[in-house]
Amino acid sequence: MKRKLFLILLLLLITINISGCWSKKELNEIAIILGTGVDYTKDNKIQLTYQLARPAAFGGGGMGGGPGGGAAMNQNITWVVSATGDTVFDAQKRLAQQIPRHLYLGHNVVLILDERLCRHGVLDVINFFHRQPLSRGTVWVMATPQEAKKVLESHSELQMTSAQAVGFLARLRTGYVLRFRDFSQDLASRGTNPVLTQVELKRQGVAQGPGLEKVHHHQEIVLTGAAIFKGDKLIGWLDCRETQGLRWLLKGEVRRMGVTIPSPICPGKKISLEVMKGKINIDPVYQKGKIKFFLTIKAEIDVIEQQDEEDFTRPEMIKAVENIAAAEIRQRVKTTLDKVQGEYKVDSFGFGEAFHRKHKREWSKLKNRWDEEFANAQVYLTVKVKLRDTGLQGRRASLKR
Amino acid sequence: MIYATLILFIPQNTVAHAKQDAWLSFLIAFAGGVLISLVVINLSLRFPGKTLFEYLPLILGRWPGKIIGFFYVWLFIHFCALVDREYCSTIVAAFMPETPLVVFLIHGTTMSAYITYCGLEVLARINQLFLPLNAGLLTILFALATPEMKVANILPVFDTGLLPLVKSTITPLSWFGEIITLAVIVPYLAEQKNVYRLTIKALFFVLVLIEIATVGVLLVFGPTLTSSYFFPVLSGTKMINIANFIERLEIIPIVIWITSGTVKGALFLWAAALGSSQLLGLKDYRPLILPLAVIVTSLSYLLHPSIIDLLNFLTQTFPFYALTFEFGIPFLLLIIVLIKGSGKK
Amino acid sequence: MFDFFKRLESPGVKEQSWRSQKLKTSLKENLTTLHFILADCYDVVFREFTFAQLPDIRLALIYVDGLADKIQVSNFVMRSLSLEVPPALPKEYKITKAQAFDFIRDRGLCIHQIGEANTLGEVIDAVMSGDTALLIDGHAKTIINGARGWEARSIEDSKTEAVVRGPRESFVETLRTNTSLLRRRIKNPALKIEIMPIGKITHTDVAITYIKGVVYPGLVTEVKERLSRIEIDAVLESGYLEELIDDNPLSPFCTINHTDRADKVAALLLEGRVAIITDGTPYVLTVPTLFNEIIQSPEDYYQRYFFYSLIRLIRIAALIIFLTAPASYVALLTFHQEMLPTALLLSIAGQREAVPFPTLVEVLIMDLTFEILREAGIRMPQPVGQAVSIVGALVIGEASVKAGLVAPATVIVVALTGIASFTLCYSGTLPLRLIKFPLTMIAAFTGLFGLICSLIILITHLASLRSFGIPFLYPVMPLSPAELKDVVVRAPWWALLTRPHLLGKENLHRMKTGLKPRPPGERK
Repeated sequence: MKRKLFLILLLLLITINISGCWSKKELNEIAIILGTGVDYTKDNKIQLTYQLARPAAFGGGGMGGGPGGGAAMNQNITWVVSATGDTVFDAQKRLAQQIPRHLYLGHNVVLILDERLCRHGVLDVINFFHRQPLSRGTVWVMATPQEAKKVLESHSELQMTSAQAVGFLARLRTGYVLRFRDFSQDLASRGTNPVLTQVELKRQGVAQGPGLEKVHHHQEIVLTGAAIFKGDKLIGWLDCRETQGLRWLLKGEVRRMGVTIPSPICPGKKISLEVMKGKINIDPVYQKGKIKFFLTIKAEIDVIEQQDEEDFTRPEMIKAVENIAAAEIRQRVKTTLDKVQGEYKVDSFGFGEAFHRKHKREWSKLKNRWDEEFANAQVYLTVKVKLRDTGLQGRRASLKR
Repeated sequence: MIYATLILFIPQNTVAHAKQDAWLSFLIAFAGGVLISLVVINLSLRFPGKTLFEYLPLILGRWPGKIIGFFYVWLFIHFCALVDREYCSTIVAAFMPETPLVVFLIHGTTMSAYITYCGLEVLARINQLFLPLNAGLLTILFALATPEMKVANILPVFDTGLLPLVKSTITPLSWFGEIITLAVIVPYLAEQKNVYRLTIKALFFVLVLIEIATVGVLLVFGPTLTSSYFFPVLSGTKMINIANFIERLEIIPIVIWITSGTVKGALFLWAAALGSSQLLGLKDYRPLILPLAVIVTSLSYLLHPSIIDLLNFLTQTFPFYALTFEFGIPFLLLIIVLIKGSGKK
Repeated sequence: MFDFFKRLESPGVKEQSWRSQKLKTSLKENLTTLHFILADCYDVVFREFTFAQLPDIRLALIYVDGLADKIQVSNFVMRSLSLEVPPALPKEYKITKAQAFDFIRDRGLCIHQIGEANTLGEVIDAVMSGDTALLIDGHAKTIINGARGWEARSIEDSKTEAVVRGPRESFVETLRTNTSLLRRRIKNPALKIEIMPIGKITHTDVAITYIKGVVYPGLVTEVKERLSRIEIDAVLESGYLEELIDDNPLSPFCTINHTDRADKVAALLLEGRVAIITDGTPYVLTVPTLFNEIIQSPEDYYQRYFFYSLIRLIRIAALIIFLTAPASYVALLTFHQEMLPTALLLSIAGQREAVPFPTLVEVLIMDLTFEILREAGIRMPQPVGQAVSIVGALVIGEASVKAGLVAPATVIVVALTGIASFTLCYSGTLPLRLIKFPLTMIAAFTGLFGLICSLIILITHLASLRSFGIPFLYPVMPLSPAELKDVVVRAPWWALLTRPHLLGKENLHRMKTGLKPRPPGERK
């Protein structure tokens, strides 16, 4: 009797299992989203764009004639679709009616927001990506002055898709980049304002290969700077050069950044340096209602290229180069600081967080009008540079004299 | 050997109140947990070889003792239902939103029931495997997440002040209070002499695990974002990406949740089954497992309409209800015993 | 007398009333009886002859042709009795009929093993086992000459557990040879070999082997008790016994291991186990069995420990892959696509695009094909082996991928699963091979949740098993951290100081401490 009961229960369990493949989605039933773009249309609606992977184009061997990496021209590897709606989800539901597969957000690489939306305020659309169990904090968030849809409609020559290409570009950290998690954190914090990566579609290079002669100009997504936000609204852009200064200020994320300085001995000639290590220390001081920030930047640099004949085996030459480099870095940081603090009047650098950590009590009074306080704060900047290495050469071999 | 069973795994979604200082509130809750376990063990050692359900009638008299005993059976059933509900809800919300919750609950309770059927020894043995496994996985998880961590996220310390800190302690304290299950386990322990030391060691181990999880999550997300996520550990795991290859490790938190949830559920189910069999005067507790498992499944399905309701209950109602049984009653019992002088000194 | 023959009319297996019948003094009567019992046994030889010393004593030899060593019997039994007079005998010595039995036994035979029998049952048993019975007229007893010798397979390499380094000898079908292989390795009177015949018809000899002083005495008693319970007609292979003395008859897992490697059995005996050797099969049962034996091979202990520690880890990985790879593949592809790296997912998605089956069906088809191929590989006649392997590898793998019926990734997963199983002890993998299928199906219906649940239930089941009182998962569950050094890795010999604690508690230490080699100056 007992055994029979047990068997019946077991059978019941198996039946429940077999009849219920509720969440099951075969791989050929999902449309893998690689890039997401959100635009704010002129009639104040949200336009959602997805870059979908076309799996058939990714087939490996055995399928016959699977394309290699760069053959994106011949076969469409992605499919870019878009729809408008009142909310992101509304737009997605409209998209779902046009696509014969389940939209799958789990592999989204990049989220691109257009300028109109950024100026309107991003909080309207961000929430969708927070709530989705499939969406990830590692998605790269970027802002573009162009239309996000247009940006996603591009393709990449080296990578399979443009979305993956921009993802890899971001991972190399050659410019300022930000992930969704950090973006949300900055949005939530009172002590800082978010800064987004600026991306644009730019003509770049010429595609080579048989059958590609007609296509001379090819457009790729490139990092072109940064977007400064106040709260959730865009208030201005930084160009590439200013973004470098921004990178110094944001916790010294400057590894592998290039610095080119004039030569100390020969006017008109240049020396190129690469930053190997950078650190910024923010020391907030609160005195009699005045806020002061003492910034100390420490950098270690390598010499990569020289046009003249500076002899780096001599200590005084090293000293000289260090001083010029320090001045150059100082100049760059100053430019950015002036623009952001002076012109845009927002704290994009997390100075507020630093202040909060040091002056807990004062913070609670100041936090609600922090940006105004910050605009009036004094910032003192010290840059210390150390020349670490000079590549494989100490001085040039081909001396003129 | 059985001491591994003592280590109950405590869920991590309690970082709402204290913000940066959540890890501090766990420290305070740990002290409370130690106090509770001291009271419970002291009671148990006064009645050697007897479980809570056997010495309750001895202290309070036959009928009042049995009634309180049935309350405890209910408590264990409820604990079991809550544990099952917690991890099943997590899986539904985070991984398989289309699948009905009840499917997971049936599976979860079946597992717990099977383990319970195999007995306390098997339960302990399984825990001996899962516990180091889970501890190891958790440590690896957060070690991998270190590139995402910022020390600044948990600074400044003592930001929110004392009152919110104490408030936030109550919920974790009720989790630690689940150590009340000791009152049923102690008679089955091999080493009666070292119970105190082992328990405190076990609690400390739990504390370390929780601190790893809490501090880790706070370091990754900071307080504001952490408290806005239902499952911060899961979201934290999603951040891991090392060399573009070691990424998407969500399987690790699922393994931790399911294994620890099952073992914990099994332990409570065992306590409930043993308790009711002892109160009813049955020789074997096994026949009771099946009906109890059915009750647990339906309870955990019906008690809360949604995960929000569950979390609200866990943070607002549950602590006071649980602490009554976890701390209040054992403490009163100890006082009565001390006054009456019953039991062994 | 006629009554007796009447009863003997059908000397089948059911009616063996003659077993306890005493022998008569008359040779003729005895022979008639035996002829009746051994009627229609073509291979039994009866040879009557006259004793050289005393012509009025008739002798008869009975043996089974092919089981007795004919050369020994003719040279040292017949020759000495029918032709030669023991030369050391004084001339005046006259032998009487009454003395004949003792005389022949003590002075007439050049055979080492000699016994006496006085019931028909004993005589028949001895003859059937290959001994030669010598009947002497006028004596109601026989001399049993242990001159056995039959055609047997010679000792060869182990077919099931190959090693690169290590002894090559493996057991054969003959019990005596097998015990000699063990005795050659353990030259110690403490190695006990107790014989117990099992099988009402087959009378198979089963040897219970253990090392006294190492094994826990209760274990030997328990083994004997379980074996003596058995009443069965035949034991043709140790598998019969295995299922009759198992602790967990309803579990797919067998908690009694078997091996044909002599060195492995010796090592297991030295850890405090009991070996059950069955006549007629090279496979020796060893109890108690632990689950970790699945990842242990005798070679681990012969080769350098560094590399073989890595091999242990690889085997653990293989075990996990073997059990879960198809299931997790199905679960990941149908439920948890977010857990695969993007590039990998896109690649698999591309491969699967043209596949007409759901992932589960695809994996099951491939798994089934693999199992069929494997079974065919074992069962097929040797000469066609090549054909099958070519068909298997090329047609099934290559062609199905080319035809787009199966994704290459699926072939890889299934092939990996198959290969992984070969790194493990073959017999141990059988239950896992079975469990793999339901596991894959559960994973396809409930995803990783179901997979993890099933694994928990599996582990619970394993944890509840015992083999002769020892927990099956020992030393992992219950955890004995110090002993993991012979499970997770293989510690060097100078660190393997003790036998497994639960098994070898009688005599825990297997060596002196401090045996780690040191330079001469630092030795104590």
